[in-house]
Amino acid sequence: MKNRINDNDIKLGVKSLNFDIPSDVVSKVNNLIVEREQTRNYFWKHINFANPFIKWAPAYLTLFLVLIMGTFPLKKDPDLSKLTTEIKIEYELKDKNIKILWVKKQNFLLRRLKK
Amino acid sequence: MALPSLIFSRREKREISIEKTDVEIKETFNELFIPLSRNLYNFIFKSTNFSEDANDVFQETVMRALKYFKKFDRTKSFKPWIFTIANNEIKRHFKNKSFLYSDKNVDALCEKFHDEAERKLVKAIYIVAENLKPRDRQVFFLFYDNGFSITEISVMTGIKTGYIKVILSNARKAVRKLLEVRNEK
Repeated sequence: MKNRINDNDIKLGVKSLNFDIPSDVVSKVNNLIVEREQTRNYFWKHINFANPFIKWAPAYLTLFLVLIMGTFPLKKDPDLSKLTTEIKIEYELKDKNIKILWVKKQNFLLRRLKK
Repeated sequence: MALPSLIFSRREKREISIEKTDVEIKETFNELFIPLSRNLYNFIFKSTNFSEDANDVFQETVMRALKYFKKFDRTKSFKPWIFTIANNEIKRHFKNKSFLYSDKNVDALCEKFHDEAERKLVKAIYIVAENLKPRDRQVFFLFYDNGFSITEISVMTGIKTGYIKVILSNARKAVRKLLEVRNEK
């Protein structure tokens, strides 16, 4: 004879075996919850993160820093007049249509001489 | 000069609101959790093969749920959320332990049933469940014990619906086969 069991039979069979939560587990969980509350950091516990001022504090701080950086930049812009090259000699070879410029750079180093 | 008083009043207000929210969170958690606690414990206990470790898993589940309850979307149902946490805790538990020793014998558990047919059925079901893989056992109990739909289980466990159907079908077949064998005897 074949057993014609369906999902409902299995459901009833599974549900017929039930267990209560042991009382020691309940008390342990309650103790853990109390312990957790006590050990929580006092400072963080008393900060209300729902407060809009605290909620947006990182955004305000970033904006403030951006403004500060914009107004007082850490790296000063280089003096353009110093960076511009200085033309020392300029002469033309008119017959060959050549113009020669001898330029002195500010960061020019005579490395060969150093050796 | 108005600044200190302003800060003080804000601080006062803040403390009151914290007390309110903390109490509210606890109350709402208790309201939602207490009716489900027995089901949750049974799911963990059965999924861990009636092991004593179920107590630890249950504790960890409750603590984790309480920790992340602030992030829980109140518009959604609480039951799948907490069962997902329990499912993950069981998974973590099985990851650490390759073998779980069952502290209770299925025969002993089924002794309370006076009806012979019922006893046979329950025995067959729990023997089949005992021999399933941990993940399959969780799916089995989520479906048959807690009444979750296949799609809900799929979302909770991350297993595809087709495979869940296969797991359930195989379990059903195994129960039938076991009952047939026992009847023949």
